[in-house]
Amino acid sequence: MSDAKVVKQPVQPKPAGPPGSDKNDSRDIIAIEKLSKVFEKKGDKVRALSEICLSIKRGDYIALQGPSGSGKTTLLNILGCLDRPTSGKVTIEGTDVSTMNEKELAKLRSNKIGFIFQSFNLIPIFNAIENVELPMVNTKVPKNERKKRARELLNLVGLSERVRHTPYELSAGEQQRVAIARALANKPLVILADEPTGNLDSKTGERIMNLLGELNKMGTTVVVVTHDDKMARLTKKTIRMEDGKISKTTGTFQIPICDIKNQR
Amino acid sequence: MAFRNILRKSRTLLVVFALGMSIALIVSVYSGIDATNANTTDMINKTNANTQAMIDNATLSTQQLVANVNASTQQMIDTANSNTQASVNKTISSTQSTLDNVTSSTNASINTTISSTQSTIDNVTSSTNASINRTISDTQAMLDSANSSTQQDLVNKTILSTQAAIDKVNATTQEMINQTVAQAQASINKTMADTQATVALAEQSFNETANNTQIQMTKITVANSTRQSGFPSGGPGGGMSFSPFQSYSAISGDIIADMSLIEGVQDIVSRVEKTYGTQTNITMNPPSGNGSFNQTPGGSRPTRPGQGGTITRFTSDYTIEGVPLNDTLNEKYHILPSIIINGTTLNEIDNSSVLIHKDQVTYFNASVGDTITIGGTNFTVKGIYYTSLQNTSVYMSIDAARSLLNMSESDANVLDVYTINASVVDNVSSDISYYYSNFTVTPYKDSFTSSAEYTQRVQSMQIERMKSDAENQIQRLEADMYNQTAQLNASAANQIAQLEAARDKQVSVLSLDAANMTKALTEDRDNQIAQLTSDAENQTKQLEAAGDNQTAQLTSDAENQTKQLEAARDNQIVQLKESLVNQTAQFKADQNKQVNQYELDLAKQVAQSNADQSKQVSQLEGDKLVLETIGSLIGIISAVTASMIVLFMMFYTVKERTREIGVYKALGFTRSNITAQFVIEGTVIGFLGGLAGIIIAIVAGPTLSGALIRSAEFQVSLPTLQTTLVALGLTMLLGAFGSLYPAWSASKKSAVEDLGYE
Repeated sequence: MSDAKVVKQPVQPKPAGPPGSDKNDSRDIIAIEKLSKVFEKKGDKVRALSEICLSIKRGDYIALQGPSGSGKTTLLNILGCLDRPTSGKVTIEGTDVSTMNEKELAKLRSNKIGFIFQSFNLIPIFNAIENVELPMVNTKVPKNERKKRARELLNLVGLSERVRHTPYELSAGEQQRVAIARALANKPLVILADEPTGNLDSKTGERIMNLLGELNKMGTTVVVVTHDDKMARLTKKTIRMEDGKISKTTGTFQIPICDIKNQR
Repeated sequence: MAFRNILRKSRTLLVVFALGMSIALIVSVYSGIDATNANTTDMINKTNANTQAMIDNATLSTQQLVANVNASTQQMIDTANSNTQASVNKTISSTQSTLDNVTSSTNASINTTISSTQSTIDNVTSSTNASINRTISDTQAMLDSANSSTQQDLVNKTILSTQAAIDKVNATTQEMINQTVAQAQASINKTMADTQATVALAEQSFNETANNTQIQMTKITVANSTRQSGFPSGGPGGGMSFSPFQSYSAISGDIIADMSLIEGVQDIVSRVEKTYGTQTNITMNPPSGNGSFNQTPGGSRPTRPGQGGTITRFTSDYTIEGVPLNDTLNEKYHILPSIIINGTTLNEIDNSSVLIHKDQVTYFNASVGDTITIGGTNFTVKGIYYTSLQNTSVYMSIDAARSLLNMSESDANVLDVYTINASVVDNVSSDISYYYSNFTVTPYKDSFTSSAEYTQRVQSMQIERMKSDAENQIQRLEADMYNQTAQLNASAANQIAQLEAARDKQVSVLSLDAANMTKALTEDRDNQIAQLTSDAENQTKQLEAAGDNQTAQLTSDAENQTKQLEAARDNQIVQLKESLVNQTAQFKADQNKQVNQYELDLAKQVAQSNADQSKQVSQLEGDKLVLETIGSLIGIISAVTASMIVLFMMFYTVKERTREIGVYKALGFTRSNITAQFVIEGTVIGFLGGLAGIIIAIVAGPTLSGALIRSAEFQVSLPTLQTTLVALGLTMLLGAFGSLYPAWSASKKSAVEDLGYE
């Protein structure tokens, strides 16, 4: 709790605003239309995603659920511009991503998207603050500002005492917190988390999910892939996927799915 | 922050160690090489000092050798001088003795020459005198023999024999003339007698013919028209071959008896004719007619008239005429020839005798008393008859003729029918023709006129011819005789003249020969004597001259010899002196040569020493180069090995950090950002590793190189600045390149793949 207070300070100025503040709530940050993804493995075509339509709005906290191989991670990767769709359209803040080159995509990722991985993926040779600084090095934030913000973010995730610790010196939960701090470094439009609790015990996982919920409350849009229903219940919306298609949506919020009728 | 990370990485330490080892190795090798360089220089200096010492020694010994040579040369020259002087003295004394010998032997030769010349002259004189005496006596003997009486005898003999030959010629010639005249006269006489006899016979025959005519005017000749021909008894194909014959066919005795009953017929004289001849086959065209063959019974005719080609021509040789040897009939009708010039005519009993014509004597080659064979039967020639006209009839008895023709008694083939007078001849002829149409009937009177005149003219012409022939012959004989006589006389005269000329010539030759011989002998003798005398004189003169010449020659020879000996002596002395000079020069040249040789040897030795030195130095330098090369090789191999290790280490290290690269990508780093970061990192690692290696090399290098290269000649020194800088650069480069590829290839992959990398 005391952490939360500390956190609020730096968060405040960074996002464009708290969720649903001045911006139109119903406006899509990310919209996908008839998105399909086909992998070719040893001659066999595996349809990972099949004509999915989905829009993610500012302030969403969405859980992507589904069994292994249902296409949820693939969808997340495409949302995060780490992968390109086989067909269909991905629009981020009104810009069609498919027309962008690698360099533009890298810049987009750097500025608009924060990633959180199941295995944390901290750079092992760097300590906590250095890992958080890393995205800002890329966006050429001046060193002082960079340091300051990194420290603020580590405070936000409750690791102000472990700034100089290397990943090996941190616990799994702590590592994931560093990762979350790193994801927040460039004030992203959306945080995409792929099984962030997969490598954590349930208690720690819950804390992480709560952290993400707090961040969402502070205005950060979050999409979480998880197969843990317990974790999914901590989100606002749930999208269930089966065989590359969205099979079911839950939650008390309107789900702007373009062609859910068609799928049905 | 990078540094901390590097230290933490154990693999990086391995890289550092590898680099360090290699650098240490390089450094060690180079240290070893430096030490070798120092050693080599030392050795080169030593070699140089040795060489100098050797050169000095050589120079010293050469100088000593030269001094030796000079001394020995001087000694040799002195010896040569004294030798030469001795030789000159010897030459002079030996020449003098030779000269003395020459003078004495020349004098002896001259004396010998004079005495031998004198004795030769004496010999010549005495032999010449002997020759003269001999010549005189020989000549006298020859003159005596030439003047003997033989010469006159020969002349007389010649004259006598010539006269005998002339007489013989005259006698022979006269005899031959007489003989010629006698022969000519005999020939003339014979010619005249022959001619007269012939003329007389001709005239008798002529007269007889004229007398006979009256009787013949009553004659009609009848003959059978058919003729027969062939061979007598035996016939063709018979054993014996007989002459072919032709004859009229027989007329039987009955017919003859009948014919005699014809009115006006006085007598019929039967005859048997048969013509013997020779048959020749002639190839010819058919004749236009056969009249020309019919003129006489003995005439020839073709066997097959009217046919061309080959004809058989019959030539009559003679005709036998068988007539009745009845003196009464013969008296009345002159059946047998009346002029018998040899033998006698046939009488009634002469059945195996014949009469032949004078001209047939040659044909039968038989005269009176000889036997001839006709148709296989032998007959004796009883008489030779003459007719003025040519006649080939051989008269015999009709019986003999009949037997030759195989004809029966009383048959005949020709009938002479005599009429009672000439006026009935025509009637009888026509009657006979009438009764016997197959007979040829010829009255004699029909052919008489022409025949008689012709006969007469021919006979007179023949007589005239005979006479003129005889005269001509006589004249020719007389002319021949005269010519022959004249020729004989001329020949005799010539012969005599020739004999006389030969005789005169021989006589004159004989006289001349005697005179000439005497004169020639005398002259020869005088000439010979003169020749001998002059020869002797010439010889004496020549001998004297030769003696003088020889003496002069000997004298001049002696002088020449003396001169030559003196010249030879002088030459020898000059040569000895020249030889001395040459010898001295030779000695000096030898000396120079040897001195030069020594100096050359010295120079060679010095050059050799220098060359050895250079060789040794270059050998040492070569060794150094080899060492350097080996060092370089070791260095290069070490460097390459180290480089490979570094490359693989970097590669592997970066590869392991693929996931990290994925993270960088997810965080929005571009490919170039990521690659650059890794390369820089690799470079820094390389630099640090290199630095570490150099420190190790400095600290542990000597020990390491000692362990690696066990050689007393190698010593160790510290690495140079250059080596250090090169090593550092190399390690940095290796770090950069080792990290470049994996970083670049990992960043190329999609971030999703990189993140999924374990």
